[in-house]
Amino acid sequence: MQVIVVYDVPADRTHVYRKLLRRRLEHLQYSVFYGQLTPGQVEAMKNEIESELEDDDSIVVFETTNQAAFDFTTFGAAEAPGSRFT
Amino acid sequence: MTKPNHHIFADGELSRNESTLRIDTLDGETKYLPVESVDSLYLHGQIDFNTRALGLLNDHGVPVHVFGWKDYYKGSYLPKRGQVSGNTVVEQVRAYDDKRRLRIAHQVIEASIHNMRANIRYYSSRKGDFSTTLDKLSELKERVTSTETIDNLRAVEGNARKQYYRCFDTILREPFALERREYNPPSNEANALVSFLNGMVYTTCVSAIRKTALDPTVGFVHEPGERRFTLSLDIADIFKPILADRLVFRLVNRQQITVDDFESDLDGCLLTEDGRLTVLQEYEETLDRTIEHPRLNRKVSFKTLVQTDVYSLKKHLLTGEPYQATERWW
Repeated sequence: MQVIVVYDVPADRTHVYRKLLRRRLEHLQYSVFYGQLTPGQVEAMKNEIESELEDDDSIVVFETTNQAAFDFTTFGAAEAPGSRFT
Repeated sequence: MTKPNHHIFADGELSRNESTLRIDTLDGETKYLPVESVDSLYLHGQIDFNTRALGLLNDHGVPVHVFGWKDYYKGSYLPKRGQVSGNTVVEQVRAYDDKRRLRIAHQVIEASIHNMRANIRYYSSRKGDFSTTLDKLSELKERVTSTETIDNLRAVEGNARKQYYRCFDTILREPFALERREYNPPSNEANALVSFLNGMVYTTCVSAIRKTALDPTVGFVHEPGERRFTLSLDIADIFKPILADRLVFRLVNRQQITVDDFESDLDGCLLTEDGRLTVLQEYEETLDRTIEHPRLNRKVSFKTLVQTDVYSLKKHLLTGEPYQATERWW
């Protein structure tokens, strides 16, 4: 499924979530991650997020299984997400 | 859903960083790859990496396929087996040694001829009259079951392939022409394109076989003991018409690839870097294409088809359930 994760956490804790999310998702912008995951991967990711959670942390996970209804437009210097080439 | 592959064309360094993969290109760009969401990694550029990076790839079962000069396939770093099963390997080798070998080889060759014929049938009347080739291929496919030695079987297959390649020049838009199949090095543009894509199909099969406990070196049609993974060669023969050849026709006929995407070198002809990139993008899309699977009752991607083919072979070896090599049904 398509997944977008955004977070807003105290500066000294960003690395916790960055590390956890980068393993599964593409790091699009400072606190924005995108990727296609299996339901199992999403579940594991949510569990990991939950176990790291502290009071001031705020994380939102968007997900959809309908690939056809998912589209994006990029502006400016943004690279198209999901590229398989470096 | 299968995970996507990732291709690195840039030169630079591949390392482990915060439990994931980090690429620092010589252009000064840094990129992080989600190691848990990559199926196989393809290195086309000059890449430095160390054992820590390999260890990480190993932990996540990601095979690395390495390409050298002009994207000639060099080899693969395969992760430590996730699937270990002495049983499977023993049965695989036993099957190679007993009468099962011929039955499996029949399946592989039949499917291979079937898939070649499906391509010709698609272009028949669109591009010309191929009825004699179609008849010939049907006849060869029927001859497979009654062929009792592997050598004769390979002759039947070679015969079919010759008939098949003969139609290429009519299907391909001018000035592309295969004339005859030549490689090492490919003699013209069409041969270069076919060779390059065949190599990609081969690596796709290597990755799929690695997900099982099967030994990639023990094939059934190809004689083991050569340098390459003969089981991968067997499976690749089934899928080349579906994954490679059909794409060759499309790329050339829609002029996504032109003669400008090739360069001649050392009396051979090879794709340029731009050309390879175009071809690979389309190849990746082909792997993603889905079709309704009659037995699984869901849509599966072409990449999954390769995987299910390998699973079917493994199941046949272990349980005796008939092996069903993938024949294009759509």
